[in-house]
Amino acid sequence: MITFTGIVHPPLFIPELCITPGHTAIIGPNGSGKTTLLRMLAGFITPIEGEITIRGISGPSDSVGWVDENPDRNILFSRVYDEISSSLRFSHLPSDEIEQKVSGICTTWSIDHLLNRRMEELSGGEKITVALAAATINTPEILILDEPDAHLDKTLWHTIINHIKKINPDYSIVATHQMEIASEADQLIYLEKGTIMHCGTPEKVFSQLKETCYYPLLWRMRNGSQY
Amino acid sequence: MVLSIEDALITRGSFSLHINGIFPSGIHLITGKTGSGKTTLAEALIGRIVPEIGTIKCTGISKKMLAMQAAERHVTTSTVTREIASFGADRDKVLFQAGLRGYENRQILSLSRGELKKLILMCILTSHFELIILDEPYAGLDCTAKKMISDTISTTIPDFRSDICIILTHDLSSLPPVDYLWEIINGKLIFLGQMPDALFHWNMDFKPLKYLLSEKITPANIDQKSLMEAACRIRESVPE
Repeated sequence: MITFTGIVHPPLFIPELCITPGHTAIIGPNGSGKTTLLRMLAGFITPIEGEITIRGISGPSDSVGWVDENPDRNILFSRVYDEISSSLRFSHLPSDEIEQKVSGICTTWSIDHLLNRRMEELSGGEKITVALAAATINTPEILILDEPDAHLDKTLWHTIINHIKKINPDYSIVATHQMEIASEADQLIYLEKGTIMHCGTPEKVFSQLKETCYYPLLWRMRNGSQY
Repeated sequence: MVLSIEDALITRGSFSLHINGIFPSGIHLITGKTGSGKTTLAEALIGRIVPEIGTIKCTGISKKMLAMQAAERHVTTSTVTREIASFGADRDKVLFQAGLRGYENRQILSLSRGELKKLILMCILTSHFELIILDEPYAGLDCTAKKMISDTISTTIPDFRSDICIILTHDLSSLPPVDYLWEIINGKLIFLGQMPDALFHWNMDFKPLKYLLSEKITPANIDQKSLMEAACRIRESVPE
């Protein structure tokens, strides 16, 4: 369990929040604090006030995979192989072990054909997939995806979710503006103006958003609710 | 006013894109999977990429604009007001429509991603460009902003009946009503036709449309209002 207690860090104000293991989606208007929440969880920023605990231990996890919304912001190196292997190299792993792990993760993500390509030649979707491979090569405890769907169509997103399930991080947390994607999460969080307005199963959270454009279109078409 | 492409070919490594077609005035939607070449096509149509063979010709078009997916690439000034002025757009109109009144003197790069994207899109949509190409205009926007962008497209473009607006996107959740539907499949741009007939030839995995077609109901268009209206017809046809 991940808990947030007494968090004050503008624009965020979170008296209490629990994130359960599994797949969590975070939704909310632009500027509501989704990215700040994710960055805090990743340990990139420390809350001005309050505490985050992971499995009862205070402070950020040292096993986090991060994928930024802007594919170019994930890139450190010019070649795909170097990008994917970077965290292993920084950890001074032996070369043969690095090669083995890179080969394994590329098979998982079906990107063996990209290994010798230059990052700048890749499409936005390919860059995100490479970033996912780099973020998951060490099987992180927490995998964080900040609006990856901006560059991914639904088919590719479902492929990615299936890969994430295979890698099976304890927590996968995604900020998204696609309500279809959000409706498939185990847990859904709705943020507005830095505050957690709703948290629970997608059914529970969306039932409280029926009067807004956040309610999934297909659900609205099926039950005829208006807003 | 017409944009015409004759047997154009663009290659990048092992990827190639064949383009053929005529874009008359109206709103065009081009869809395609991730990596299908939508951005490459957008850059070719606006003239940033010259095809290796074939021609892309703008007839009667003197003002054209590509709205890039990454809005920060458009920024040339330091404040919101100056940025709007750089487009020659109406300041008050842009601020109102982008929901950014009170932000006049804000540093442009202090805006959130969504705010900047709304600002740039509104500058483009409210200036009078004869050819507007929107590359993933909804990426990074919340549902309120997506609706606002689509409403602006559907109210602005028909005002200038000779304008061409081309939307390239994989996000189908908040589209405006469109006139023509295109799709990129296996490196080739394919014209599917006018609405609503084109919907029967469309390969995109769009569950709301699939739901309607499975119930033998055809929406008049692809915008939310048309989809909801079509869904009402399903409920009306169910005997109580």
